Amino acid sequence: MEPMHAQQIIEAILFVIGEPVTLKRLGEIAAEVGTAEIRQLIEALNAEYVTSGRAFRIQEVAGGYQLVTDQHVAPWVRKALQNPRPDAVSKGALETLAIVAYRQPIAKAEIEAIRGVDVTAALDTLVERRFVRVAGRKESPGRPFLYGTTAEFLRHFGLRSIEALPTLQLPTVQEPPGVPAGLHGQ
Amino acid sequence: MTYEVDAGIYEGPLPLLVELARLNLIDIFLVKLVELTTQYLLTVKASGADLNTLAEPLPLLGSLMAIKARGLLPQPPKAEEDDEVPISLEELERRLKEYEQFKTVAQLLAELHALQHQHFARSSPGTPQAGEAAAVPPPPFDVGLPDLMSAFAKVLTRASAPVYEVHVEPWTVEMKAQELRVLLTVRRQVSFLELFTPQQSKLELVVTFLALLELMRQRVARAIQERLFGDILIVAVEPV
Repeated sequence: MEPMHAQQIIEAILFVIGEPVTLKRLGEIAAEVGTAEIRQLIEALNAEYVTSGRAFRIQEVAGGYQLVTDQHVAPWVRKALQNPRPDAVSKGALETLAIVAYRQPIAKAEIEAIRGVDVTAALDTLVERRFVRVAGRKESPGRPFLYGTTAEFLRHFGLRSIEALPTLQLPTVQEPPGVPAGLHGQ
Repeated sequence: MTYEVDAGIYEGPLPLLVELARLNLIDIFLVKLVELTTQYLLTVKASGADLNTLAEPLPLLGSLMAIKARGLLPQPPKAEEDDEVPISLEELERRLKEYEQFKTVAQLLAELHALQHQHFARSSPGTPQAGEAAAVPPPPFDVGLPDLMSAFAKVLTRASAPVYEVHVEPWTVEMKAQELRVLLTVRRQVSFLELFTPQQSKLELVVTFLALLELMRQRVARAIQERLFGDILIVAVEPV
């Protein structure tokens, strides 16, 4: 297949889907093109968007590729969508989110031990906005919910994967006494 | 939102101050609670009325007060049992460092979020998206406290029932909250205006409104508007 044609296919798929499409899925749809080639084609497309001054960009986000508009046109796009407020997330919710992102799956009490305040409201907000979900229950008295981040979180924060977050400098904390070992990780 | 305070000998986030006071690492008697409350009241006046943000420092200020009050009481010679495991300074330091890191990440997340919201993905009408690209119809949005207050001010002006001398308080916030709870369980959503009738006395109206605010605070109910200038609806918050 001609590269030009393959590039059009990829561009068309990303345009129509409008949300992150995995490389695997792209490979299944455009079966004639190899995944390595698809990756190159996407890079070429992105380069072309920049050099020819187009309004599009292809982002690698939440484990897939997503066609989005460039930030320079954001004010007008927002106006067109009648989307008046870029909904900010409160500092408290963000701190809670950061803890969940690094320590997932984590129970509410464990988050509170780190932040030192009640996080009920913050967690509610995060669950409501689908950045965080209940990812299971802890096998300890009361079987509290364990929370983890979602693909929606990655999408809204432009992260390729959870590993794209910067590594924390502190070594992993030892378990506080009273919590049986072996509960972390799924 | 971490609430920052300036207490003379201490300047920084309120949660840390409470933690330091609790561990006796800061002399609570040097902290002027009057100043903290004044600052808080100023914040309340300045920041409009976001219930969540304003509510957060309250329990902390309360526990500071409790710590100070406890300090004023004569101490028993020796507590019978001391089940509170004392935290070593190193442990405290480690915890603070850990928290600092998460705060840094939170800051980064805020930037990433703002940045990502400069990019819009295509929103096809067929597949509604929860993301930044608003699908039709736009989702209902929260009604703030000022709007609720002004809606309630209208209710009060149409209150026509005469005022009687009442000796026993016929309505309590708890009673009204319970009624509202039942109503919301049955109906899922009610119009704000429907909660109040002109026949009700001002006292009953006020108690009902307080009960509503209490339910909102407990996140049992939420006030939304489906469109600009639309009716305010009170909806039951789905349990997670």
